[in-house]
Amino acid sequence: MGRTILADEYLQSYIFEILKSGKWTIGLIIGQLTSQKDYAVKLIRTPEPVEDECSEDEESASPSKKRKRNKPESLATVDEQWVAQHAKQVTRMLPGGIDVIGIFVVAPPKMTQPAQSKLRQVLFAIQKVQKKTFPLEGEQSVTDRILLQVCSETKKFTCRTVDVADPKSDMRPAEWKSQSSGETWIKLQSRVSVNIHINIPQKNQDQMFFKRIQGAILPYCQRIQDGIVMIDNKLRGGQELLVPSQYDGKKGKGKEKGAVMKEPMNVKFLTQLESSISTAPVIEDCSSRMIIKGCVSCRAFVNSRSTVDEATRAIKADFIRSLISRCELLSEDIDVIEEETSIKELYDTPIRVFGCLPSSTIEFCDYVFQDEKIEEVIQRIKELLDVLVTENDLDLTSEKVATEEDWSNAQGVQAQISASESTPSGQVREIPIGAILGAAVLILSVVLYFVTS
Amino acid sequence: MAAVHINRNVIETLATYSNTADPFFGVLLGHESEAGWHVTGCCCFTDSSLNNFTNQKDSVTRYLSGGLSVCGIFFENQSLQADDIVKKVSKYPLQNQNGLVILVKQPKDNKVTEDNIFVSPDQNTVEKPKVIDITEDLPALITARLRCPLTISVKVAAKGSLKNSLSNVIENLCNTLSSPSAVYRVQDTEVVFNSSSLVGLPNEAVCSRLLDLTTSDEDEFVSGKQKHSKSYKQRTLKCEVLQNISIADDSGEGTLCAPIIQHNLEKFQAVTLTLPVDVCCQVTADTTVLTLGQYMTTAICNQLRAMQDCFVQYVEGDVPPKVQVFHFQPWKSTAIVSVIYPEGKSEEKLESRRRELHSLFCLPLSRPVFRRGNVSLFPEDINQNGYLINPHQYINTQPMKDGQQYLVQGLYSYHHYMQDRFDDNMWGCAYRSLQTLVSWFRFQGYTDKPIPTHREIQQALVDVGDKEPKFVGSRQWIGSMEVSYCLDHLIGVTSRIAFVSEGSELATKGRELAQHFQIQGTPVMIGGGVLAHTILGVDFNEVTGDVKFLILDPHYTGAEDLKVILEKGWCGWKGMDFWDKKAHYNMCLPQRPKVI
Repeated sequence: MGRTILADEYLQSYIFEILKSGKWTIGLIIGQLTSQKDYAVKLIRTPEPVEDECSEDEESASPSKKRKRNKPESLATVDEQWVAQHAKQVTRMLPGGIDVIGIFVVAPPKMTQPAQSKLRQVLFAIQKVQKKTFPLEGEQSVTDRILLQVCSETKKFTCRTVDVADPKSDMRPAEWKSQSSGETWIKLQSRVSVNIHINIPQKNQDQMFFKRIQGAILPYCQRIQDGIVMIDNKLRGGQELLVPSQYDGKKGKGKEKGAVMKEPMNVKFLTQLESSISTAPVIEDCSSRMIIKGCVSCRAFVNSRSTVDEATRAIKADFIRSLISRCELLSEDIDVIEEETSIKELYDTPIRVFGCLPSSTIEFCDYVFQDEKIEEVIQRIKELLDVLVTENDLDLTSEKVATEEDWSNAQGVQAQISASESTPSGQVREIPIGAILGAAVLILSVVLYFVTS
Repeated sequence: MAAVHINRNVIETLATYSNTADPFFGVLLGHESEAGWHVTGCCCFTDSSLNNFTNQKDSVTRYLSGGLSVCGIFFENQSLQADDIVKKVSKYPLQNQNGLVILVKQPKDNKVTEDNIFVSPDQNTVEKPKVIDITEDLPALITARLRCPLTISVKVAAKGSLKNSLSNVIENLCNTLSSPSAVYRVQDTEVVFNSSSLVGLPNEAVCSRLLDLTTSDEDEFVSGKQKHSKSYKQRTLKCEVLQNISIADDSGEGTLCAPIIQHNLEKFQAVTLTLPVDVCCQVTADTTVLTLGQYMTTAICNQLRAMQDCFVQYVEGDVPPKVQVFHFQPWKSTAIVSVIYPEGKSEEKLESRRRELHSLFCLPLSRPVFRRGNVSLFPEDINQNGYLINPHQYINTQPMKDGQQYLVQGLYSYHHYMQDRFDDNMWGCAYRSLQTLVSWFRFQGYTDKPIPTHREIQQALVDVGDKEPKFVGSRQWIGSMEVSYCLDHLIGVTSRIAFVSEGSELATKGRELAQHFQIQGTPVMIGGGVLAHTILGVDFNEVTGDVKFLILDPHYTGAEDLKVILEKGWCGWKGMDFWDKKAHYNMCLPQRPKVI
């Protein structure tokens, strides 16, 4: 039997609106895959590539750029990277547990029919980019992805799935089921401290800045991945239901269940201390030290029938995704050239803000740099998520912007550690991070540069 | 004031302590429980001056397993009057919630009894404890063990800077581990604890509850009645240390900002070190889990500092050695002290280090205690090399009426026919007995040579000129003399040989064997006209001269099944009828070398 995808009724009207516009459309399906049922909570049409803001530099960096600056003429000529990059950007903006679970197209049959293999390629391309961007998220239990096709003439829905872990897998039929009563989602939340100190070996000194950050954060993320969590201050068996269902006997009491789950569950992360396989002491020449310190606000959403293991996976994924995303956003504009002199560089990563998906309790997030204006954020949310928000809809208080004090504290730690070491007095250089913020609209091309390079 | 229980061993050590160079002065070590102090060991200080007291005390704590602490002090004093003792005690900076145990010896008096023991509930009073109990049996302790290799990276700026940078990094690590964010988890349970919080059990829960929660393979190991009493005591609680990296909103860190990155470009050298943390805590069953958490933290930090000392002491150039943790039970009790040794240094090179330890823990310089081979075995380690360890300890028979049992001291492994995928059925019994003897010398730390194979034993006999070269590879029997040659040649152990011309004469050897087990405590190989066996002990009646022998039989050909071995008598008590009355017997009684 094929998969069953439960879709919020709201999604139906989104499709009808697209149908009304009369344009062919490709976009992402957002939701949650589980071993039993899949949940689709949002559809997002992939924004048309914007031409006028691409700088010459970026264009020359990517030879394939020209083709992508305009919307392709038909599905068959779609560049799968165009959708895959959108999927990557959207994934950054999703809380743990919620993923890009497939794509949808609205088009006339004469366009979809010749594009079938192309659509399959798009799904595989999305998977490839996701794996590269979030390498630790690997262990997904469900590797099927959804392809929903809506015929713009007959308004007929055709739903199929493909296993993206297996390049030879065939498309299998699936059932797209619209349901009127919204799903009940359980919210998990945590604030996690990041405290990383690493020495970067000389042999890695030619690495790009982001590679260095990656070298610092990936082991930390791996520790989170290998660690255990306490949910509402309890260690629990992984196979248990997250919310023990007292109503199993009497079906149809969904409303009561919903009432129970209003309070978010608090998660604590317990990780092992830094350890590696016991080896003999080694002396290494190092070219720099990196300290990453601060606090990440994590949120994840799982359906009401989830197990503790599923919830654990979701909240861990959120932390990892959030830390990688903000470091990547930061690095996209910084290219450090190795210098002989001793230099201290300080950067603050963007802060995370949250908002609510329309007609749902599920949230999305975005990352905001200190000198970015709220209008830019609202614009970006509209562009990438196709969600209209106002400033009042956004929760801007979940994370605190770094102040002078935080910076001096971070250095205090450093000073304490190297108290006895003679640190050459270096100059402090601050990079104007705001410069990259026009990126809202040119992220597509910037990221592309990043991927292809 | 609570009771004081003192291990008889401690009393005997202090009564006979006579080191003219050092003062009669030091601290007592023990475990604390609801019932009071259980004193299990002592440390002798070389300097009784006040100035050096704290230093000496700190250096002791680096060796102590969790739960074992400095619980008192001993010294020499003319008077046993409370008032006089107060004057002396109050000088030393020692403080304990449960009071201090004080042992005072009068000069030129070699007697230590209940009269010499006092307690001091606070620094200003000294009194007799309500109960003083000099005992061999301290309460059964629950052992919790935490093993977790930690990796640190230490900047080495200039020559000699390692010590300081290392000390900074280790103190930082200790701070992290002492903070409420460090928690311990009992493996395979849902219990997480530290000194201030407990998840998964009520706050006042005691450590015996933790044992109830864990199941273990050893439960299946011992059959019948022993199963419960024995395995319960012997099980180790395996713990891991975790760091809670989530931030509680009410904590001071609640205002932490979004991550900031500091990137310092500078050239320097760093050394990456592994700290192979392996900590034991021993507590009485009624100790609260929160207290265990406190002991655990203290023990980890003590061990980290001990590792730091070892790195610094054995550093070569800028490269510190790889270090290893060893747990020893230096007293006749289960109490554990842990020592850090650099890897790859021979026992000879570490002798001066061991000398320090013997002197610190008031141990005689006559037998090894802190060699790596002396390392104490945990229940989970026992089955690892495939041989049964000390099967006789599971025998459940009553001793002979009015008899006294004299047994092998320490551990050995049971070697018998058909082991090591080698078929020596019908001819290899003396070889196997020799292997058991060598295993004893290994477990007691006298040698780190491997247990010899049949071929190596035969080669040794050729090498000493006892046999022709063609003997190697043959299936010829060997006897007690050959066993003694091999012990001498292979591991440098001399033996005494005892003869009886008829088996029935063995009845007269009871006293001699009793003395052997009391003084030497080594297993004895017996052979001669007939089969070879290992004698592990005697049950001897002084009055009647009746004697029974604890025999370990190398002729067993089956698997390492303790139940079969005990029930079928492959390891068990035998009367005089066990011996062939007409055959002659030789016994090889190995003598302990005087080494440390």
